[in-house]
Amino acid sequence: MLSMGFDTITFTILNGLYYAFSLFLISLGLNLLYGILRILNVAHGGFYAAGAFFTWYLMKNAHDAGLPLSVLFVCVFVGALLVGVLGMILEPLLYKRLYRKREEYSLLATFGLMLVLDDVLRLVFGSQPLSAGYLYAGIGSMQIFGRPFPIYNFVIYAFAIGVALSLWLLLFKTNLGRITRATAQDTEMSSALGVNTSLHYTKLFTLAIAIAGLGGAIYLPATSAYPGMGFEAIVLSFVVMVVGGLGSLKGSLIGAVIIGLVRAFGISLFPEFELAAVFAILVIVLVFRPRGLCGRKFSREEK
Amino acid sequence: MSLRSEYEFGIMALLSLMLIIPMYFPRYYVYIIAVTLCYAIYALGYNLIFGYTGLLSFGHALYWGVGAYTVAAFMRPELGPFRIFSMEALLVLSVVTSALVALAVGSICVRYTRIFFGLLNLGFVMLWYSLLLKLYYITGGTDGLPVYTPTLLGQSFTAEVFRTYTYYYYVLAIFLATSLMMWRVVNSHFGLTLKALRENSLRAGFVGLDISRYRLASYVLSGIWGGIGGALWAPLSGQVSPEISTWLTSGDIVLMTILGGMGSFIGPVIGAFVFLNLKVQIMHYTTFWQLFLGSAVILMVLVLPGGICGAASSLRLRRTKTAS
Repeated sequence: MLSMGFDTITFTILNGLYYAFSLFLISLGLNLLYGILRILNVAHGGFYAAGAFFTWYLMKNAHDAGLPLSVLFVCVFVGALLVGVLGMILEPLLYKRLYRKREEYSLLATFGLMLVLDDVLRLVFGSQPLSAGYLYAGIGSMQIFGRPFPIYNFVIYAFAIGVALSLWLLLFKTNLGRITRATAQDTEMSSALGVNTSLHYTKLFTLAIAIAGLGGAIYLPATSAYPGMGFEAIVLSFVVMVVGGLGSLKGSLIGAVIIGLVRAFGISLFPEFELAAVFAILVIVLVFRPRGLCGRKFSREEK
Repeated sequence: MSLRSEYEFGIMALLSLMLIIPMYFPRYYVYIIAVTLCYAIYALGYNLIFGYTGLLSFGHALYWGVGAYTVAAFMRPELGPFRIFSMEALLVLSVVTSALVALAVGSICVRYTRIFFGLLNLGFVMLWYSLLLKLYYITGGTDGLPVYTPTLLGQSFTAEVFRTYTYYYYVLAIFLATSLMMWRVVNSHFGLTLKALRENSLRAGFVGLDISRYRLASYVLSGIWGGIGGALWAPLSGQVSPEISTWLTSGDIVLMTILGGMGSFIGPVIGAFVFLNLKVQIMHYTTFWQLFLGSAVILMVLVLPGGICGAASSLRLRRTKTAS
């Protein structure tokens, strides 16, 4: 750290946030599903990848048709929405059958779905990395401490913060949120009071999947879509979940920022052990504070 | 025929089939079956922690990797006069290293169950993976390490004879020995205690059992079996690389166990056979093996949670019911 100047530190932090927010958008949905439905959705990485691939397809076609940048920007939302629709289709087909099963079973079934999703994306889009950097290049870059920095990254930061805020508003200021918190606490009681829990679960599930899709979609212009990206993303998101606390939405933000910063500083300070450091954090947190930084306490039965 | 003699007959028939495989089957199949037997040993061990003790680990490829890397590391030319080529010595070393790693990792992991146990194991296997990747002056980095042809009981063979003939019998013998040992383990008091922990750990604790100690013992044993499997597999592959121990390859062993039927003794062995041979067959036609595997897993969890063995035993049950 001593050898790093103030400007380098600023850049490293900005890069760290860039990593962090993709993990944040994935783990947010994961925590929502785990907190309410008790499902650790391994397939979430697949939906994230689907968001990137769908958006690539839309953007490529929109760009080839000569549409302006603003339309390309809309593609990001359409891509995320399509992923949400995919989730809405899969929820009654598969996930609904897993809600009452043991956590291990849902872990395995969603792992199976992850394998299927990854291969279907490979089948449809091929094995080559696909990029559509029109938006990224179109927005251009700005100067920070005399070094160029892509403006699009700020779009990503704004997006992530926007999603966090709107989800908070949704959960704590609307009726839907009140119902969500009620069903999370006591499903039977809520359905006795007239909540259509089955429909409600479908809504929540679609929302969680669409957020993951948005994660893939918003990052596509800056990176590329490639098979296997879902596997990489999901394993780091697990780390974020554990560090922040399983089921905690605040935890996914804090966990993502910590992991993002560790990676960014790791790459510039100890590139040998950057990945090892991330998993070392996972192990340390699980050993010393298994409920994570913001997780609730365990009941005896869960130990 | 009574149930017991039916079983014995089946086992004898299968064993004689296994013995003549190198004489009548193509060399390629001999190789595949030898690899399958290595995985079967690993699966037997994994079943102890998952099927019998009820702890789902998403990181058992760690032990496979420790076993395989132990063999490769002691064969490195850099060791000069201290290089070891005796497979027996290498197996003993692998048992020691995998037991030590399992003891260290396990003593942390067994404090948790369910998802936390799974994720903690995932963390350890990825930690190991990233170290394998980055400590290239020890582990060879992404390229991994070559594995040379070892000697078997002091005899050396050419690579060709070794791979398609002698080593097959060597692996088969160790498979039989480790299966017998595991059979003794699961049918001992210790094995029954593990089942009791799986069914109700709270009650088992009230009865006065030291839950963590039993879980740790089960974990270490399953780690050793994984290490033996990996060590036996290394000379067959001729190469070890970090990709053999990730959370995804750990997923393979979970899927083999589920496919065969967790909790039944022979299930995971059948699962390993079906998994690997199906993979070879499907990969002949298409590279989209994950698509088949994933769909099979989803179907298994939803329709046949008992796996192949569970389905077979429920069929048998139905048959005896209609017969009587």
